[in-house]
Amino acid sequence: MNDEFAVDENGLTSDGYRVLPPVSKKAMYVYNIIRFAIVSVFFGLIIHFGGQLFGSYQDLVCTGLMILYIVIVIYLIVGPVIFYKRYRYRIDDEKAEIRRGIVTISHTLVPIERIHQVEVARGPINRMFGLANVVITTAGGVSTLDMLDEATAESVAAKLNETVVGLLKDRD
Amino acid sequence: MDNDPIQVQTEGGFEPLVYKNHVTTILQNIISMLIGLGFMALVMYTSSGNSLEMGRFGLCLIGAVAVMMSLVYVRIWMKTTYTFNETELTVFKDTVFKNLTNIQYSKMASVNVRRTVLNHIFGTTTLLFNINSSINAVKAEATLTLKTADADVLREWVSGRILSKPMPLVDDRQQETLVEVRNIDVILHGFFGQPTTSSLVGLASLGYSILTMFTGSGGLVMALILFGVSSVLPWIRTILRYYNYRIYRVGDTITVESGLLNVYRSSFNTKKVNSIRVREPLLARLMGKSLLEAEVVGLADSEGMPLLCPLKSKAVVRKLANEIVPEFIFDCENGNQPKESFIPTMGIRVLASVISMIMGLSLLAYVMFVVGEPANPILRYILYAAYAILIIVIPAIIIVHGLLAQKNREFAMSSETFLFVTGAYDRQTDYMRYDKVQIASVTAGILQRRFGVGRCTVNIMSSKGVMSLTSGIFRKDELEAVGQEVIARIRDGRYDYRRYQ
Repeated sequence: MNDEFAVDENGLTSDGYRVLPPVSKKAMYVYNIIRFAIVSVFFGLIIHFGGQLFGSYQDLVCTGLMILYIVIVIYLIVGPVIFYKRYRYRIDDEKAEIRRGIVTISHTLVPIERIHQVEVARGPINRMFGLANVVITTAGGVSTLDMLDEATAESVAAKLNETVVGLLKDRD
Repeated sequence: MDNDPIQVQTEGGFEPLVYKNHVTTILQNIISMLIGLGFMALVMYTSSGNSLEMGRFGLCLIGAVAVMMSLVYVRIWMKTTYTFNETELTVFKDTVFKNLTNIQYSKMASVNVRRTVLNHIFGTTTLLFNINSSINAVKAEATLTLKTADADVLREWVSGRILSKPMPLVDDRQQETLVEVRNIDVILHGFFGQPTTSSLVGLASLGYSILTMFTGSGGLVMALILFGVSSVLPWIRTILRYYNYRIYRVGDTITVESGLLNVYRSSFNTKKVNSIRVREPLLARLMGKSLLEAEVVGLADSEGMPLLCPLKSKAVVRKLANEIVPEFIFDCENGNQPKESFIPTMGIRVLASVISMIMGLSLLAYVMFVVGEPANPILRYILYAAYAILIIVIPAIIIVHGLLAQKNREFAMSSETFLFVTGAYDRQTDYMRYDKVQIASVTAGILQRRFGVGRCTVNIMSSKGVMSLTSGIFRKDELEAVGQEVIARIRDGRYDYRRYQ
């Protein structure tokens, strides 16, 4: 794992990023159990009806599908651990930054000046674990801070809203 | 104005202008509706198995819908007014729901003119008023149809409030175009301006239809339909849209005019331009040609980016770009992908090629040693084609794509704008303003991280809503500079929102 993702005892990286609450891993696993069920049904149906679909090539196709299925299952098992370890976010008066990813790591930067709307969203699984997403909307798309604990999500959203309102007041 | 529901007030001596749509808009709406209903009637008639009773029932139903909709159109016409105040346009609708829309002139990006065949017949012009917003980007916020003379006067009046240097329509028509676009250029643009993938799909379906015609193996109609939809229709639409093309700039206002049957005229301020794109589809590039497009939010053009120059020689396009949008253009030197990008660029492609070859060889081995070659000659030929495609064609296309991508891609930053050159077979150069970037991301996969490189994606508003543009593979620290520059400009005041209002 790259050093840039190492955190100190306060849960901050050397350049001041914050990390996700540990309970977020459990929420990710619940999401992945649902995904696992959907993927299993999908592959099961293909393999079950494969005889009619692929005729004499059924064995070849099924072998390929099973390899793909195993790769997906491994991804669903190890994904949350890697996602949790790599997920970082940082917000100051100028920008919101999010670093995340499992295979591909992204560093997203949203200038506060461009933010139109901030909202806190709680889905059923997030609610089970006391988590919430902060959805940041700009004129050019949406960026999301996923699975923060509810109190943190509310305070992040309040801080962002306050900064945006301050900017708009300055303009008036 | 009859049936005017708005109490017109005089604001400090200013007399608001109040308009209603020309009465022929009712007729235009009815004609459009009848075409749709006629198609429905045809479907109902054919699906009813030519049953007389079902046919009568369907016709009665369609007739009732037509009468009801016509009454709705009359009511909409009667109860919709457009009031042009000193600072804003107010559209008031009192139909089924009451609706009051205020559009400030300062928020308007453009007033476009559209003259369809029906407009020509009725001597009217439709004005489209658009605001600079990604929401509802392809649909005008308000449309108003008037007699052409009245529309010209109104357009001039509104343009005077939203554009930096409006001009009388007479002068507008006398402006010389900055680039001479002959109609043959437009026709060539229609044929060679399409992305290569669309052209290939079209050619493949044409080839297949010719093959089926000679072999009589069936599928001719479907192949011809596919060729028509994927190639012929876009060609015809492009030719009709850009025939009689003219472009000029006066002050900060760019005007584009074109059209064979329907005439379009769009005027917009350069400060509303978010990005500029030079596109070179493969076939056009082989002919030394390129085309120029602009991303302007608020043109309400479902065609997407407005065309600034149809397919012309690269030198002509470059010259026009320097004249019409010099704010964006800068020279890029040594901006190609670094050598560290070569393995990340090729790595995934080599892997994809190997997978394709493994699939082809597995299929070959399976057929040879397990199921045996099929007796049906057509099936056998299909299998030979599949081997060739999986083992040779796809890997070759992927590897050449990677080599061309490494050669073509560029990234460079100037003081006001930055550019991404992307593409392999087709090549496109996007010049973007830092001040229009809404979100900037840098991403790196496993292989890219080992070499310290990645890709940059920027989100900006576009004429169709939102657009993401992704760079080639460059050093991560260089790409991170785009987002940092966006922030730095906001911090030190180089970005001023008033500049773009």
